[in-house]
Parts: sequence; structure tokens; C-alpha cells
Amino acid sequence: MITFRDVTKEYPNGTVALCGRAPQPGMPQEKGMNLHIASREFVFVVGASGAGKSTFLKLLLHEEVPTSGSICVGQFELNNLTRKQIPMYRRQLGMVFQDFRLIANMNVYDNIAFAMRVVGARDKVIRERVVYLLQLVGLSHKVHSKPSELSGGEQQRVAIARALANNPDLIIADEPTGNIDPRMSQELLDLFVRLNEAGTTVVMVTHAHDLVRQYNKRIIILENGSVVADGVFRRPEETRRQYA
Amino acid sequence: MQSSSGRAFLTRMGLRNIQTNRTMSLASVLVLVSCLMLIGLVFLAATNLNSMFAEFSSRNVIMVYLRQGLEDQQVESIENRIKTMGNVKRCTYITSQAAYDRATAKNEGDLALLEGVDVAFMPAGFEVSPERLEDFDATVEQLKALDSGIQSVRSFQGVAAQLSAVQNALTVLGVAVITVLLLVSVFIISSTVQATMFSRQQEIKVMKSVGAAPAFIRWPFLVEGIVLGVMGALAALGVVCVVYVGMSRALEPFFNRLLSGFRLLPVVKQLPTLLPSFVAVGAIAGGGGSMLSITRYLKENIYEEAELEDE
Ligand SMILES: Nc1ncnc2c1ncn2[C@@H]1O[C@H](COP(=O)(O)OP(=O)(O)O)[C@@H](O)[C@H]1O
Ligand SMILES: [Mg+2]
Repeated sequence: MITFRDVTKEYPNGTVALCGRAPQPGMPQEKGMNLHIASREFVFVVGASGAGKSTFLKLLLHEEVPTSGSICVGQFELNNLTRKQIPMYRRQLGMVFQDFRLIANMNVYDNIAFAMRVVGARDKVIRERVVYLLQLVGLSHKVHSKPSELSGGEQQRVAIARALANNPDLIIADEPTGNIDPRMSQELLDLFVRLNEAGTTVVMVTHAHDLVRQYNKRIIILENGSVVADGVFRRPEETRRQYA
Repeated sequence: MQSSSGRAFLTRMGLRNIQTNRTMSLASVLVLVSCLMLIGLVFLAATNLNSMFAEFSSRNVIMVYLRQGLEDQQVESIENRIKTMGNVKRCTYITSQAAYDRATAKNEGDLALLEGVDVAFMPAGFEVSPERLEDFDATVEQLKALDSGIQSVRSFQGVAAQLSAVQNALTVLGVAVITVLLLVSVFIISSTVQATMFSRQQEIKVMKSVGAAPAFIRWPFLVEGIVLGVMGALAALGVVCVVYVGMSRALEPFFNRLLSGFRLLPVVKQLPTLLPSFVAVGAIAGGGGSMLSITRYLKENIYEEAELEDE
């Protein structure tokens, strides 16, 4: 699904935000970040502030291009995307943000339908899909509510439904539980896991380390712009040791 | 892209935005109306001046007086040569009698002046109207040298030259005023749409992040700008018509005295030009203005740091 090959990113001001790992004994020096995320995988990306998480997401969204190396997402080779292809590429991604980004003056239904309307979907298709998505995220009873009438957790579920509107193969979530209380966070993560089990690849950047530890999922740890650990941490004790 | 239902939705969105931002919409329409109103009045003034100049220049004749006692044949040959000279719009023969009648008519109140002047004493001649005022002087010189049968040539060349200079200056001024006002209109629409756009950054970001094509993202704003522009144009045209009709009535006695018989052109005659140009100008100012302001927002990134990252 996602392949990074020797990717580096240096911003115009000279800050190197992504790079290869520091030299390891017995290993050749990496030219940049290398990683592969398979289809249907569930991956947490964690790391301290400034570690390069946002840069990683911006590269995935094709808002920034790598200084060197190449990124492949699905059948798209991002270095070769033409301007026309960028919208097509983004339709294959569902984005979920920390601040929900719902449109305040639209109700729940329209917020989700909006994502389909602006890519030209037909009304009948939209109606059926929105009903289905609201069921999926458990908000059928809130269909006419405005975002301001919903709790944080509910708003994020609407945002997830919207991200799924155009049936993407990949969901990219940026700190989706950052503005949500712990109990609701748990429910949201469960929702992501269910989506993943239904076949969607999930990449989630998060700070909620204690939450992450409860899932036996792959974790990629970034530090100073490179991957310092990458693997599935099966038992909570082990995970804790890794971070310490 | 199955675009028809999407476009319909986006069109409704643009129209709804006009209502949502009623105050801003009204403000921009009002300013646009005043700009377009000025443009319309400048245009009408220019058209009237042009027709006034046309009237003036038709009164701008060159009198060619002939020597006494020329043969009919000679007169005819002179007439033919004048007519084929170039820059001659009209050439009319004035007999001695006609010249006498004119003179007496002109000096009605003062017949004593013409006492003792015989009909036969008035020279016959031609009244020549030049085609182009710019070449007035050259034409006069040419007439003077045309034939020995011509006794004298009289003209009002100073007035002619000044008139065409004034006309040119006014044309330049009119074009300049209209251009400036057009730019102002574009700027105003652009800042209105920009102001409403600030509250719609979220929409734009969402549209971008779900993969809406740029043309789709622009569409509601284009609709909004064009509708505002055309509304402004129609309102302005209405105001211009009312003001113009009022002015023609008020100015009628003045023109009657100053320029016998001259009237402001009826506005109905100008409508076939004015209506489409106003609508076009409104649509271009509106559409152009909104495109100008959205381009900046389209460049902005979808992904922007939420500043909540400190450990
Ligand atoms: N647009 C930018 N221009 C210059 N430097 C940047 C820019 N964005 C991020 N950086 C720098 O790149 C590094 C990685 O940043 P970032 O990817 O935002 O990390 P994180 O999201 O993990 O906090 C930091 O040192 C940051 O200051
Ligand atoms: Mg960041």
C-alpha cells in the first residue's frame, strides 16, 4: 500500500525533517527513510514533537514532495503525479484530523454528503452511502444535528464517516483522539480497528501512548526524522520497555 | 467525472452563500452599482458629445465663392472637380439669389445694411462640407488653388481644429475613467468574496482533502461573483436610465437655446448597447474578482499543524 524508498525531506530553510537512520553497527548507512506498509495493515506512528510525524503525513498527502527518494501509495508513484492526478489520488485517501474540520453550518448528513457532492457523486448514491456510513459510526439518530450539538467524540465519528465517504483504501488519521476524553478515545480507536478489519488500511499518528499499548498493532517510532523502532509489540510490558 | 449533479449542488452553494453573507453581498453590489453607474453616465455623455460633434462638424462648411459672369459650363466643371477632390462629403451650389436670400434672412433686423445691394452683386458659389475635420486645412488650401474661376474661399478652420482636439481628449479621458472604475469594481468584488472566503476556508480545505478538482472548488465562488456582478450591473443600469431621462428633460431648454435643435439621444436607443455591455462588465468584474481572491486560498495547505503537540 505505502512504500517509502530512501526518502529525505529538507525544508527550504535547511531543516532536515526526514532522513535515514543513524549508522548501526554492521548495517549499511541508509540514504533515507525506508518503510513499507502493507494493504490492510494498521499502523501507529508515534514520536516526540519535531520528530517528523507531520512531515511524514504531508508527504503522504502530497502537500510536500521529498527532497530525495520516492513514495508509492497504491498504484500512485507520488513523484510522478501530475497536477490533474492530485485530486484523483486524494480520493483514495480518507483524512481524519485532530480538530475534526466539520463545516459548522452544515448538519451531520450534509457534512458527509458534501465530500461526495464535491467529487460529483449522484444524489441517489450519496443518500444510500450516507445512511450506511452513519450506521457504521453509530450516529444514525444524529443525522440532522449540527456539529456544535455533538460531543467531541461524536464529531470525530462524523469526520470518520466523511473520510470514508468516497470509499478510500487508506485512512490517514492525525492525532484523532487529541481533543477527546479518554473513554471516548477508546471507542474511537475501536472504530478504527473495526474499519481496518473490514479491509481499510489505517495509518494513525498519535501521542496517546497508553492507548496504543492496548492494541497489538504495528508501531513505527520516529525520532529526529528517522525510524528508530518498527514492529508489533504484543505484550504491554514489552512495549513499555521499548519506550523507556 | 459525473459532474452534473455536483455542479448543481455547487451552484446552489454559491447562491446560498450570497444570502448567508447578505450584508457583504449588499455592500459589494452597492459599490459596484456606483462604479457601473459612473461608467454608464460617462458612456452616455461620450455618446452625446460624439453626436454633438457630428452635428457641429456638419455645420462646419467651407464657402467657395465664384467670380462674376462664369459660363454654366465652367461652373459645372468646377463643381465636378470639387466633388472628386477627396475629403468632400457634400458640395451644394448656391445661386446669387439664394445667397442674397440667406443674407437678408440673417440680417432681418438690420435690412438697412443690405440697402442698395443688388441680387446680381452677391457672388454665387458652393457650400462644401468636408468629410474629416482633421484634414480641414488641407482641403481649404486645395480649394483655393483649384481653379482661376474661384474668387475666394472662406472657412472657420480654427473652430474645426479645436473641436477635433477636444473630441480626442474627451475620448481618452472617457476610456481612462472607465478603465479605472472597472479595476475598482474588480477589486471590490474580489475583497468581498475574500471576506466571505475567510469563513469558508474550512470548506475549501475539506474539498481539497477529499479530492475535489480545483475547477469544482472554484465553481461556487465563481457563481457568487458573477451573480453579484450581474445584479449590480442591472441595478446600475436602472439607475442610469432614470438619471438620464431626468437629465434630458431638465437640459432640454438649455440645449434648445445653445445648440438649436440638439437633444440628448433617447436612452432607449442606447439600451441594445448598454444592457449587454453592463451585464458583461458585471459578470467579468464579479467572476474575475472572485477568481482573483480564491487563487490564494487554493494554494493554502490542507494539512496545517494543530499546535497541541508538546509532550
Ligand atoms: N514548513 C517547514 N519549514 C521548515 N521547517 C519545518 C517545516 N515544517 C516542519 N519543520 C521542521 O521539521 C522538523 C520536523 O517537524 P514535524 O514534521 O512538524 O514534526 P512533528 O510533527 O513530529 O512535530 C522540525 O524540526 C520542524 O521544525
Ligand atoms: Mg507535527
